[in-house]
Amino acid sequence: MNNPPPETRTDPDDETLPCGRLLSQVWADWEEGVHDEHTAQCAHCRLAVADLERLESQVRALDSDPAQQPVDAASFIDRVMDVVRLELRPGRPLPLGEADEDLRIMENVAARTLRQAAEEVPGVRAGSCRLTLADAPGGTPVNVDLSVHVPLTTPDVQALAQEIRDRVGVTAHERLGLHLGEIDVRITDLVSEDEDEAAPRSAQEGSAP
Amino acid sequence: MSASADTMHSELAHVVREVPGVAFLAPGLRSRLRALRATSPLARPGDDTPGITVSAPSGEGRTSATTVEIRLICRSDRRTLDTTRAVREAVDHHLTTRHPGDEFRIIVTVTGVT
Amino acid sequence: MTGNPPPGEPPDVEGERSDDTLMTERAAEGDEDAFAVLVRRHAPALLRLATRLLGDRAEAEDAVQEAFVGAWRSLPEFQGRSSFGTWMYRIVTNRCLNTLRARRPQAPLNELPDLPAPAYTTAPDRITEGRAALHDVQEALSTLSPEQRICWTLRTLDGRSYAFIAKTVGISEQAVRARVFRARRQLTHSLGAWQ
Repeated sequence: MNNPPPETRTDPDDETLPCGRLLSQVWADWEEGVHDEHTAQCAHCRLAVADLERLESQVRALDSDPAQQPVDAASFIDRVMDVVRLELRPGRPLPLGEADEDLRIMENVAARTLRQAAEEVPGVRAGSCRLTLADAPGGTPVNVDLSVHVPLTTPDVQALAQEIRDRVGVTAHERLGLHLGEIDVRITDLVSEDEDEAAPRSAQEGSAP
Repeated sequence: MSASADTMHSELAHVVREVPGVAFLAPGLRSRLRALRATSPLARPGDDTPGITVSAPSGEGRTSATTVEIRLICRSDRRTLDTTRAVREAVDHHLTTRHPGDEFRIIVTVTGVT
Repeated sequence: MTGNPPPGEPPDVEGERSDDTLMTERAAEGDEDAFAVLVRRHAPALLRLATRLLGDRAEAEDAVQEAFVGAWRSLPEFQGRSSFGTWMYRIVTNRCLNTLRARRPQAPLNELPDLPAPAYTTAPDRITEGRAALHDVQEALSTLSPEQRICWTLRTLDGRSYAFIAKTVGISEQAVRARVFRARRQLTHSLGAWQ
């Protein structure tokens, strides 16, 4: 055993090169792009680095081997979704129309329709849409708690939220026939438009691209 | 008994499918399995009269009515509530014609909109 | 000499990440179509990851499929503390670690090739031998411990930072560094480059 330099981690697998440097340190310096006088000139260090470089290029060659690359993910995805569809979580049935009509819609189906309604407002993307039965005497309205992402460029966020609420309310009534109670719209993110952040919203809605 | 239950199922399935706005009856578990659908002789279409459950009166709860539950997928071009009401009416009409004097509770559940 | 460190973490497309958040929320509420979007988006990279970690395509598909199904089940409890991609990356990595642990070593350690026969094995142009060299690398990889193999693969092939690997595997960054070092030493030995 040699005298390890003070910064040595006590790894029994480490090795001191004939020049006195630890192999682990030489490789770590290479990896982090650290250079010094010694390593630039020391034959032992250069050899150690050359070996590591050779190893890395060999394994990269392995990695680009076509046999290792996914050929067709489509059938794999189908298989995954087949298993998932055996374990659906449709949620609870919610009342359509009047409570005593025995007409119901599954929570998920209603949520999907209401998300779509919110997304009819330009630039809006919908995420969570929770539907809960309100405790109201005589009726069974459903409360909506909806999360959306809206464009960063939205001039009036409050107005946009109101537009979403209106759209959701109208859709619930006209397309589903679901009595809604409160519609809570939460804006959870402002998303910058990819192409041109400076572009005013009207440009995106305008007829001429 | 079971033969008449089979008949009842297929007649109801026919009645429901005729209602405007109905896309199809909710598929059973078996037909949800793509692999089985493709390869298994067990998975003939219409095999397990999907989407319709008839349960005998339980004795408790609402009188002595037989419960008929219809699970279906609606078309998005028609108001869902209107479709389900039409389904209930069609089923009710069918049952009172075919089984006069019997009492039925009809539940219609929408499991999808397409 | 020029250090050629792998990049830190692969860049995320901003829009896709934002959409992932929404799709994850929907899937957590039982929207399987949203989950299908996530599967479609993340399956190719995760399959590549698992194939790298396991060196076997069929085992990789099993690991990733189990990871996705497990994710679907636990999504309602997923708090969104990390992105869906990071979460899945962690699940797949840990499944692969378990697969490697369960695997009987293909080559017992005592059958390791001895220190290199000189000249031709150490010649730099060995890389151009293509598949034969690849076979050697495969062989050498199978001599690593599962933990070494995971850490080394994430570092060298997947280009992850030590901090990221530490978080993913759930050990200290120093432990990751030690494992990567030992793996490198073992591999250079096995491949006859280092002596």
